[in-house]
Amino acid sequence: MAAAIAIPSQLLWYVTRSSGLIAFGLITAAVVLGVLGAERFRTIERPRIHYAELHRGIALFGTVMLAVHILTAVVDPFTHLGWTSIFDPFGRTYRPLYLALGIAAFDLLLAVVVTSLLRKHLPLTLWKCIHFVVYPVWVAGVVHGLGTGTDSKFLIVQIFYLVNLAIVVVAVWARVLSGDVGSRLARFGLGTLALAVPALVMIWAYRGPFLPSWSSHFVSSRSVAVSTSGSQKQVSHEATHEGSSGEPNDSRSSEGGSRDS
Amino acid sequence: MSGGTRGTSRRRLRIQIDPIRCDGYGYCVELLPELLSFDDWGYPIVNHSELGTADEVALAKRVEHLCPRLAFRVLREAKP
Repeated sequence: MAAAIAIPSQLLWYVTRSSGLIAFGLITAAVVLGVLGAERFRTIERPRIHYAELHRGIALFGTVMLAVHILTAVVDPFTHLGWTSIFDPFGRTYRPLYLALGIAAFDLLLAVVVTSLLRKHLPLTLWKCIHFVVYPVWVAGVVHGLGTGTDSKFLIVQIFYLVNLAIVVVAVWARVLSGDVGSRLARFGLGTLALAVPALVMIWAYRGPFLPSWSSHFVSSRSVAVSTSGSQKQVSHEATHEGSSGEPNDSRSSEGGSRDS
Repeated sequence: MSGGTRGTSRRRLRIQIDPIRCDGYGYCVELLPELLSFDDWGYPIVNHSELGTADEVALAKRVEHLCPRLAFRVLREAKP
């Protein structure tokens, strides 16, 4: 009986984790294509509009992946998230700050997607101003993924984050240095910002989510929740979620049931 | 040249480029070389504004969606 429930739930949990990472990679690719801009690819064989269409296609694919990521997280009975958590960043109990960042980022990204689909009916400057929201949204997504993600302790995932950050920094620098962005002072500021923000995120990551002890930060808020409802069942469920991750029992087991509220 | 030979539907569509908005990104000329060409400064010249085939309509709509300056429009022409 317990196993019959655990298997689909565990599947949802795997899909949530993997689709989150895939969505992050796709959105990073879309950001890079957007930052570099179709007009900067000077090719003869291929019309430049193809790069704009690739940007749009990858961005929409990433949004769909994000929808999968969110829906599987909400549907998973273990998370106790509820449907309102799709739009309401407040009041989450599981790693509330990092979950709130992800929810807020998704809501803002939705505004970007909707205005882009309606682009030809909107004033160009309005569309563009909303489109610039993607930069903070992307950073919020990185912090959400690192902070909430239970895979941030794995080296392969850490490399994935580092590569994505590095690619975006290089792309932003290429655009800033190409000289079509405002004054020299503005370019200096943007270039510094493009290096400082990812650097701060990385410093934070190495002192926080990349450490195996990261999950034990959240023990205090959760131990209350475990004591209030059937703790035995939750802990065993957590064991099935985490059992096949290849992680020996460390801080994770002390976090047992932390995905619950 | 009238709608009868090239037209596939009753409503006739034509393209319009706002020269004030246009920054010469060139998406439209690259996709619709039969209708448009570049001038000496890289801005589009409209040689034929009427969209005949369904292919041309589809290409023009693609450009309309993604013109970086929203200078390219597909307009419905009143039936003469």
